[in-house]
Amino acid sequence: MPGSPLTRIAAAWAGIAALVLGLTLGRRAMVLELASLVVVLGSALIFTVTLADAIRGWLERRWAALAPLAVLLAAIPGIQGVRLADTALSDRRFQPHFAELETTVDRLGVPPGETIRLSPEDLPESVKVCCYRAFARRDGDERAWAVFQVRREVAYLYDPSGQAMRGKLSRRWSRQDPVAPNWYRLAR
Amino acid sequence: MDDLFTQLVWLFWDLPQPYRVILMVFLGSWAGLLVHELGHAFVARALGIRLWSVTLGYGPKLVNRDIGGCRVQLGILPLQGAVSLHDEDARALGYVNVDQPDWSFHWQAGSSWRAPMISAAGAIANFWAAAAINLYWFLMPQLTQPMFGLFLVCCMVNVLMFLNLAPIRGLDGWRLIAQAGAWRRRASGI
Repeated sequence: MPGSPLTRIAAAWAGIAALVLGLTLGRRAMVLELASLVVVLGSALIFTVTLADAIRGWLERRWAALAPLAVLLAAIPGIQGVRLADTALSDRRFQPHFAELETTVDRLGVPPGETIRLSPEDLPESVKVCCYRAFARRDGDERAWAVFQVRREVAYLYDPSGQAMRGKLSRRWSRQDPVAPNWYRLAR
Repeated sequence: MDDLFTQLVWLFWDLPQPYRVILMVFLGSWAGLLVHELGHAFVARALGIRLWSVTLGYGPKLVNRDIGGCRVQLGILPLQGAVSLHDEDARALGYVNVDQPDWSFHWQAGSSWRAPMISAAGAIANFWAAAAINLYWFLMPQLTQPMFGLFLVCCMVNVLMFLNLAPIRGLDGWRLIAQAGAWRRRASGI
């Protein structure tokens, strides 16, 4: 890898920071949170060093002196990149089961105005491994909707009538992105 | 790994409240001290200054060894830290009797500009650390409760350590004042 030792250190750190912080954005795990604290403090330290190096090298190398700093700051778009990749991976794992889950929810026959918690036995075999909590609800005469939580911060909503996000659900989940007809990815 | 961590968290929650706070402050203070002293040390190295020793912590020494020509000492309590420059390099920067309480600083054209950068680096690293934690809070989902406490303590300690730039004898701010005075004397030909 070309560049000064500091550029290589900054590149390695930027990669670690993007990975750890990008994954922490989509999850809520204490190990990741602790790792992200280390990454945040370490980034501040490396930022200070790269800044000092840039000041030192400015007169001699001009823009080239900013290389370690620029490489380190590349971690910021990198975090978003890892987050998008993580979300895409999650969608890819869950999407093949949508049809099967729609049949499961429609077959449940949820009574109007009630919420039913889905037990693992109700879910298709392939979904059990990636979904740890699920419930279905029916408001009035609308068709039943269901939420399948795959991580603490990410869930998938099956909502054929488009009514679910008007209630409590919209307060609990701040983001709602359509991923397929009648299906939405929910995130906090 | 996750199981071990979960067990540690359970052990943490079993502790009485005051002990939990003390543990948080202990860990946060270590984080602040490490950022501060390593800020001085790494910036000195980046500016081509050799280090004689790095002392982290107070009390019984856990580590006392030579790493790459620099003596590294690690104490138990995060109450003090120091970075000592190589005598020859310190003299080149403009320090006289750098290891004595009555040290002085004389501005040397061409090399002394690095001294204020090294003196300020610790507190500046603390400032960036506190800013980065705030940015993290702004962007990230809600933290779990013990981790929020740890982030909060780390932020507070880093803000407090930024106050090291105050012009009080023994703090980094005092060195900066001495260096600024030396520069001013040289610039005005005194």
